[in-house]
Amino acid sequence: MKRLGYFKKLSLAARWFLPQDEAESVVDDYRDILREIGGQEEAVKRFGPPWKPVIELSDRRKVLRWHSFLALLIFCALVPVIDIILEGTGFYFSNSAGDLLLCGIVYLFGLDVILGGLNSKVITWVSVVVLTLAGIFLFMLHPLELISNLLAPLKRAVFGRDFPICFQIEYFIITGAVISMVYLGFGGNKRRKHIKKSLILGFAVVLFVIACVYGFVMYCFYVDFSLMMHFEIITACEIAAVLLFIGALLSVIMAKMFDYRWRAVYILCIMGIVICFETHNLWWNMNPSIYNEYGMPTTMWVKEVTTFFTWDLGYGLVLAAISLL
Amino acid sequence: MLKKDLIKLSMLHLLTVNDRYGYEVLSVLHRIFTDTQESAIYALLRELCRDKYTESYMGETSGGPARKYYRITESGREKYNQLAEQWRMIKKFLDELGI
Repeated sequence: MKRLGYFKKLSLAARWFLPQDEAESVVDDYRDILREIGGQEEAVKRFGPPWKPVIELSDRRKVLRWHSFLALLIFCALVPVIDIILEGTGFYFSNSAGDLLLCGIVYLFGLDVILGGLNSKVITWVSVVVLTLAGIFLFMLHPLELISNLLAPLKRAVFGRDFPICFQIEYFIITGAVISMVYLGFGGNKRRKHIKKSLILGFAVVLFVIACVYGFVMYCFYVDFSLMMHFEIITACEIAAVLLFIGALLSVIMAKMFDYRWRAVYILCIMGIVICFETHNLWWNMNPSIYNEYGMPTTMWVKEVTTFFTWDLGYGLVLAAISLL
Repeated sequence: MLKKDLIKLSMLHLLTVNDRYGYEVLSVLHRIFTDTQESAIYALLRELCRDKYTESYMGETSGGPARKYYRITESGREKYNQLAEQWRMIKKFLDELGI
């Protein structure tokens, strides 16, 4: 039992610090080695703490890369949750957080290239300083707004008008999905045939939570609008968003350590958080009169909002499906 | 030639004689390089595998569960000859110096 404890810890450390293929190979080796060794005390005496043999095998650059990606992925899920909790300052916060995210991506990818290609310490440090200054400069340019403005003609062509500004939070779904796919890659020939029950269950639970929120909003708009007036909706959105954030965090960890397809659950979680954010935002900005704050008739406003909800659900599901490949 | 290379040379030598499983390689080499931790020796075994000087396969054992065995590859044999040549030269110089 004790030996199992040492092996379990070692295999978890291997899956955290090493690329998946290598981790599996190392775990196989240590399974054999520990089978030959007397017990946990003997294993500690000969190999040190369970994480030590793994650290000796790990590539510092790859570990740094994994932690950088993890930070970006957590950031994508965390921003809408903080937005919900901050209440009212959401738009400003999500925009600057979006700028920060874009700069972070540029910075980390730049750093990745530099650290991968340079051997000289001096040139590396000079590059890091230059890249940091460039990142700060880019942040001051408000890249998210810049991209949004560049896309404005396209958005007008599709929707006939600009997105209402509060819905820019949905960029986090796309960014989170793209980052997770870039980092974890696709299965290709090595794809596992069987999806574990735990993954199917995780997927189903998150989908159920999202269906509840989405179904509720649609029901309010088209059947009984008075339900939307209850204050409890705010609390429900906050609780759901925090739970979905925990789900996002766990699914990223599962994706790295066990099966990359857990990122589909991660994408669904961000989508759920964004839908909670929009519901929350709707509640605060709701005007039961026939005109809303943009001077838009209620019928048109409802149509607009439900269109966004359906779009979010649609491309969230498509991205989650792609991430299963 | 560093101690690391000596351990690699010993590993490759062991594998030219026979295919061996991880623990076997570790225990033999740890008896020789007593001041080197087994986890460090194992890291070198992985390095050889990563550099394609060795490869692994699952082998049957009588009565027990299947084990992962390591065998030397063609490029591993070249590396072995190269390291062995370096070692012979060092040994020759040391002999000349009377060490």
